[in-house]
Amino acid sequence: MSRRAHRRRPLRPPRRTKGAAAVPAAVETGTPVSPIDPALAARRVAVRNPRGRATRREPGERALTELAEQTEVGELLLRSLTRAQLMLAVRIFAVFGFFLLGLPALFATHPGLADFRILGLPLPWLVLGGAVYPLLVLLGVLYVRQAERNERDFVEFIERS
Amino acid sequence: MGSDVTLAAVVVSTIATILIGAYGMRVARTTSDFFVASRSVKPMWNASAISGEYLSAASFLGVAGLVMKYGVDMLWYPVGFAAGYLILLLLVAAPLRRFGAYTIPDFAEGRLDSLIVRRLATGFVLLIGWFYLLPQLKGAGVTLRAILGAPYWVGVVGVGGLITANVFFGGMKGITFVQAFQYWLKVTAISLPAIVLLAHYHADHSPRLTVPVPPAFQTDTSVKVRVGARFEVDTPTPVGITGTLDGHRYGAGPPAPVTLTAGPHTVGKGAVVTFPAGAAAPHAVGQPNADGRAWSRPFGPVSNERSHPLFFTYSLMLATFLGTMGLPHILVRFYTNPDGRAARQTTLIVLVLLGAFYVFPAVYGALGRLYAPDLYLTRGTDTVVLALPGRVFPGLGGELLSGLVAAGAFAAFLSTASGLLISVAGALAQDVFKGQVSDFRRGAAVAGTVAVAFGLMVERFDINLLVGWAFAIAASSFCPLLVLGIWWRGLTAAGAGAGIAVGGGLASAAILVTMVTHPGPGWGEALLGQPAAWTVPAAFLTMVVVSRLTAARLPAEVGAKMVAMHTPETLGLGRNYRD
Repeated sequence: MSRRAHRRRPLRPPRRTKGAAAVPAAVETGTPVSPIDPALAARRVAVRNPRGRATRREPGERALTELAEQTEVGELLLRSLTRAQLMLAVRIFAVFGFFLLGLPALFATHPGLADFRILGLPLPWLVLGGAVYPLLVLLGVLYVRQAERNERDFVEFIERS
Repeated sequence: MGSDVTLAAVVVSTIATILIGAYGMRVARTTSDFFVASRSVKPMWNASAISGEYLSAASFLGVAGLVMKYGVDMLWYPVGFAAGYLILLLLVAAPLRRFGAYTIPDFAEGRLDSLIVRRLATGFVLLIGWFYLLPQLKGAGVTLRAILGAPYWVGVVGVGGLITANVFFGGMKGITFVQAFQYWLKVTAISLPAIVLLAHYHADHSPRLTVPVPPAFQTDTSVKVRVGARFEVDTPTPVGITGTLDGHRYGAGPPAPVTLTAGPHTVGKGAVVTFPAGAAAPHAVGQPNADGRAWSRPFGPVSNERSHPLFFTYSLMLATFLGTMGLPHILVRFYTNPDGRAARQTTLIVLVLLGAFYVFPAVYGALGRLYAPDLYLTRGTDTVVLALPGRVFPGLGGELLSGLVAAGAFAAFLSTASGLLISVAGALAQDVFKGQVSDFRRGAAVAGTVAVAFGLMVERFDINLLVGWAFAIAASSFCPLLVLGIWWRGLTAAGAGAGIAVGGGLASAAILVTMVTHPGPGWGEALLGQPAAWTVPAAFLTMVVVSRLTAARLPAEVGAKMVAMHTPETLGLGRNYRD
């Protein structure tokens, strides 16, 4: 549990955005529902742990609030992060796909490749039996470094604003 | 084989597993301990445990056997098994951990607010889990037969009972330690004998394996036929025989000299055939007998065996790349990471650990061709890892190495089957029973019993084929659910449900048809026998189209869930959607 867990639930009911269902925060956090539309009260609602309710929001955390309450600004902020991460994944996958998905077609159309030997091993054996694995690890390392950098940048940006 | 050292090694490995499980049992106390090992496991431990759980009978025995039989093309299996973790790292690892659910049904319900999708997901967890348990139990049955000469059912019932008891008493905390231990045992058991074998091969002046001749016996070799066999001879071969050959009984005493004519022959149970050094090894009827050149090149013997081998290769790649993330026993391990960063670190270490392991099975496959060609005759290529050390090094050294690989093979069934059993038992406990510790135990008992019952029936199916099918079903059902659920706001419960049903249903149906009817050569065989290439796109397409059509019914709080999955924990915006 992070040390900022107490900020998880803002005092005000969250503003609605497109897509979010019309469930007031009061229902969610388990407080009495009587003043609310009885049809809503009858609906089956997930009851969440109320521990995380904040009593007071610290000043200077507008971006964090926007995110927490999924305002339009918050949604844009989040989209910038998910887009960056998804594009990173796609780039890494493109490299991976270029090598791995190309290999069967390459081997099928160029059977002569099997006559190349490196360190005494025919090329297909060397590639599939060993060389592929360091490539996978390398791509994984590149991905993790960049993904964490994206997240650090995002956190810094949020905490600055 | 059959030596006391081997038996002792298996017993020691099993006892160690039980002891470590018992140690874990003292630590495990609460319900949450049982289900997710308290989320306090370090990346290195966790990665060892994931790898230990993942390296199954298919990896330890099956890959080497297939390489021996079909050559280099079969290396796509281990490559796909490992590459699946790269895809998992890119698309799933951190967001899924941050979401906080710990099984796929939990994710489905938490993300989509739908009990129906949850039930559907539970159904596929049970299907994939049980399907994947069958080849493990089959591996256990075959290995115990190879080591002890015990009937097939002894291994299935024995190993099935053992893991059921271990899960029943230990819960998952125990299993995390057990699994981590199992990885290191397995990697030692596969690498050490392989290195010694390679040294021997080098000292033997490294005979070329790629020359265009069929596999041949290096020395005068007596082959004892445990169960009757039909085999084919390509060139007339003089042999010595005791026992029954082609219906004629040759008495005990010195082997009768017979010349095997080209064509098929039948040997009876218990017969001993002695081949002279240099004789080409016969092969089982219906199996390829490729010369070394064809065997060592891509699309060699496989091309004769399968319709459209290139399609098969691509479909297999898709199944393994995308199916890994959908295996129920693997995902549950990601929730034992403390946070999303740790989940990524863990996945990265898994890639290293798997790469280190998968270099070695090919060594057995290749050297088996040279030093154990009789396995072609007896259809025993699946046991080449177990057999090879004893063949190459007669005497105590060989026995010790044989004991080591046998212990590793045992570790392979124990660990994978335990992990699968936990997932199946967990799914039963949570969705069919009520979710208490006692229900988890009831789930374990039921899951184990069902697995053993079906395990007794799959003796005739190839280990890697069954495993490849489990991957295909996972890739066609859970992969689209996870990928779209994590990255696309527009996914609706109706879309997800329809996609899982269409993709998973089509894949299961195709596999069932293949298992029952054995379609003849042609596109039908290719498309049904390895269906991922068309069922995965079908599942994605269905999910997107149905979600678009039902876009008015987006699940509640999609925005908050996206925030929880994608923002780092340091911002404190996440919340557990099931805890």
